[in-house]
Amino acid sequence: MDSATGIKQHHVAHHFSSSAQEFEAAKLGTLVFLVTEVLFFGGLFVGYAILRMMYPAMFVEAASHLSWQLGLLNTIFLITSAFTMIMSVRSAQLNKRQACFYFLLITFLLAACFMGVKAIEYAQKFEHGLLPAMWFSGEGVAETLPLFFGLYFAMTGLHGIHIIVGMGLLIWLMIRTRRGEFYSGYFTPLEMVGLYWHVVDLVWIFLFPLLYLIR
Amino acid sequence: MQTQHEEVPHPHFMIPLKYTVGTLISLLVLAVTNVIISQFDLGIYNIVIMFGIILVMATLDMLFFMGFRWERGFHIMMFLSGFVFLFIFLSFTLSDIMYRNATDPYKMQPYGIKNLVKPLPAGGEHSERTEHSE
Repeated sequence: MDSATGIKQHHVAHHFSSSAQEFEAAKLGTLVFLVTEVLFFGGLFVGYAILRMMYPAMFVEAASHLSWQLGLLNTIFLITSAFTMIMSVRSAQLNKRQACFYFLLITFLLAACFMGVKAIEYAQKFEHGLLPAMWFSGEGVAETLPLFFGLYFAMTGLHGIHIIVGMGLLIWLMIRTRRGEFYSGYFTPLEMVGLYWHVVDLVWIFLFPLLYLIR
Repeated sequence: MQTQHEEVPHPHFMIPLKYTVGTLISLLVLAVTNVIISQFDLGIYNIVIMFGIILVMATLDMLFFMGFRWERGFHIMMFLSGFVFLFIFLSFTLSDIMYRNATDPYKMQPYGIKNLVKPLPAGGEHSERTEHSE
């Protein structure tokens, strides 16, 4: 470690010929993983499309049970967190270790805010009995309303799990940033977690209007 | 060996700040626009505009947040292949759901290859067939 800058030099793994090759391999692997994530969520989106085609009126009624205000607030949290994630990568590229750490911390806090709002929303749904399948005990005109809430909990739940995983990764990145492991010559984990975070953001860009803004 | 590693030019690219800030502002504005539009009844245009905004937001996210604007073609192709397969999945499923009960104008009966399949009679014969196949 360089005692003046606090930077810990990265050593390229023995099976790579250069740091460029190492970075490219990591990116390739991450993108392949993200394709599987797109398809993973894709199954739920196809389910959504089928049910929405079959019961369009029910979806309009169901959306009225969701708060678009809370949905929009979460959208703002997530989009802003995607920006702070990019800023953390940029800070590492500029050798600004402190800034990198704080941007990661802000990203983590925004993700926590997102989960907090989600918890409030879930609590409201539980309170009103707006739950999937046989657990449904809410009030509604459409008989098929439990189908929507099955989708709602599956889609937002799976997305929420991804946020929690992302928060875990952010903690890991913050620890490594504190140790001085990221600098202009090496920031691969930051970049890859960033890509993951943007896909989680991308999924929410679709989820929010499809669930909350049905008319 | 280590010094040799450091000499290799790195493919690292820093996304210009104006693009990231611009994308952040655009995404926030588009999200709010989507909410505002959903408050008005525009008939069929509600869903058309909504999907238009979603697609613009998704494109901005991929281009400037994920950095695909400056990414290698191979990487972009690979990531977008996920969406191609999703499109195949979605289009075939929806075409089935949409036309499952459509009527054949020549035969005056519902379409469907199901009609060509002779259903197995319930009970004994079915179990016999199963035994034979074993």
